[in-house]
Amino acid sequence: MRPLAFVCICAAISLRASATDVAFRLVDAVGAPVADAVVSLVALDAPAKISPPAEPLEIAQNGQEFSTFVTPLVVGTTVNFPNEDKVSHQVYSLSPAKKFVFPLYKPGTRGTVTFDQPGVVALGCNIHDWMRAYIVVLGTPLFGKSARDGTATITAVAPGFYRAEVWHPRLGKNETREISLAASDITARTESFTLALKPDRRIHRSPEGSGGGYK
Amino acid sequence: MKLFRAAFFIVLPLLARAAGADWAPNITTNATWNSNATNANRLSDVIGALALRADLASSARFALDTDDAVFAGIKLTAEAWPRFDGLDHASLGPRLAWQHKFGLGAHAPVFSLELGGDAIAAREPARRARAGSARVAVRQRLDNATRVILAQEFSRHDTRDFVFDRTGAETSLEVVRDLDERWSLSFTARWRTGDVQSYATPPRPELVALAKIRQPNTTFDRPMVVYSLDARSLSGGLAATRTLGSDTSLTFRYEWRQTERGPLRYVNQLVSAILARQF
Repeated sequence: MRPLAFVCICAAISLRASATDVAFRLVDAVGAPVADAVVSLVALDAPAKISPPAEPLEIAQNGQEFSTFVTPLVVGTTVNFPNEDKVSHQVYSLSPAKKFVFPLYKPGTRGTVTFDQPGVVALGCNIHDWMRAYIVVLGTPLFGKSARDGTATITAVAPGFYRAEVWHPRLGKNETREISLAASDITARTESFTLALKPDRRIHRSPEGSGGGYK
Repeated sequence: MKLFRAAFFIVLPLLARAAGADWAPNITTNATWNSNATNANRLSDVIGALALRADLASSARFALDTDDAVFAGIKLTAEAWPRFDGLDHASLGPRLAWQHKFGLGAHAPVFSLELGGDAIAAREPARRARAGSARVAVRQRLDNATRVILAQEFSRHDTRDFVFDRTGAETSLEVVRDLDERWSLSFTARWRTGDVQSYATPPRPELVALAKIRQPNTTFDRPMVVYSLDARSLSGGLAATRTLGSDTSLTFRYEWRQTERGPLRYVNQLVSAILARQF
């Protein structure tokens, strides 16, 4: 057993030592950084093991908005939807990856859903049409979300062949690219994507002024 | 004046207190230039005037089930005419609406039935009134950026003096298109049949023949006669709205309106700036 254990430990150390970070730099057509894009690496030679977090994630409703606009997570993750608002909400999804609708629920209560299929889940509130959020359910544990500066980093990626994927709510089709990470890649790798984003067509929240009327 | 006192010392604190619940208070302020406040068809009688208006409304939502909800609320309105203060008035009244959504999501069509009633206090005693209205509307989003609202409204306005009574039925179609994250454009077409008041300097035998009732009037600082008659109005309006944050919007609106009945034909052009805020 001892020689076998030694070999395993050495292999693990070797793998860890050869793992590298993959940084993503995302810009739109005019070079502006793109936030809230989900980047992921799908292993093409050996599927990566997925282990959903033991604790549920949380997407709250506050100020008649969802607390996070885009949430990437792995298949099998459970999400709580607490209503931290002053008004009732009715959160729903009509997306094929996970269809659900909560009954109208009051402040201080919450709903819970486990996302068991990969895909994009668009969340809405049946009371407040402007409320919108996305959950990107991934079949890989290697993922990240771009910050306001348009960068995202996936850390400790083992050598191998991967398909890099980029998703964004205003992207018609995922941007993909195959990349190869060699054991000799010891410095962080940077992948740059220029995204052709559609116009932002979210429903306006602000009130409408009416006019006219007869006298 | 009793109405004003009731509004400020009773209704507003109640609204403020209730704002913490499922209430949705909002205020809309509106400055409108009316090119023909007298609804006159002779150039010498046409008088343009500015009206300033504020609406404070709040309603609570009560869910009946997944698709149905009832809204109960109250609306307070004050309108001032700086040049012709005889038209100043304020109103206060309840609002009740039933809304049915045909399915789930933002793109499901919404049907609503709205009822309203108002007690109206006016600077000119003859214009004090009680008013009521019923409105049915269907709203459909064609996509995230475009929505259409088709509505039919019946209204009645009973004043202390019959000449200012108004009963009318109005059909309207509104198309709203969001241009980008901040701007939206809307087009509204309205068709109304019902009572209007047209002011003219006598003698006007052709209006006398048309009018249901007429009465001398000095609201516009000159001796005129107000004629109450049944007429048809067609109007088209174009509005551009800019969002100012998530709860405020500023709208610039232009409306062209033509009213006619027999030989009487007059046009109103209304230019408005509207600031709306949702609390």
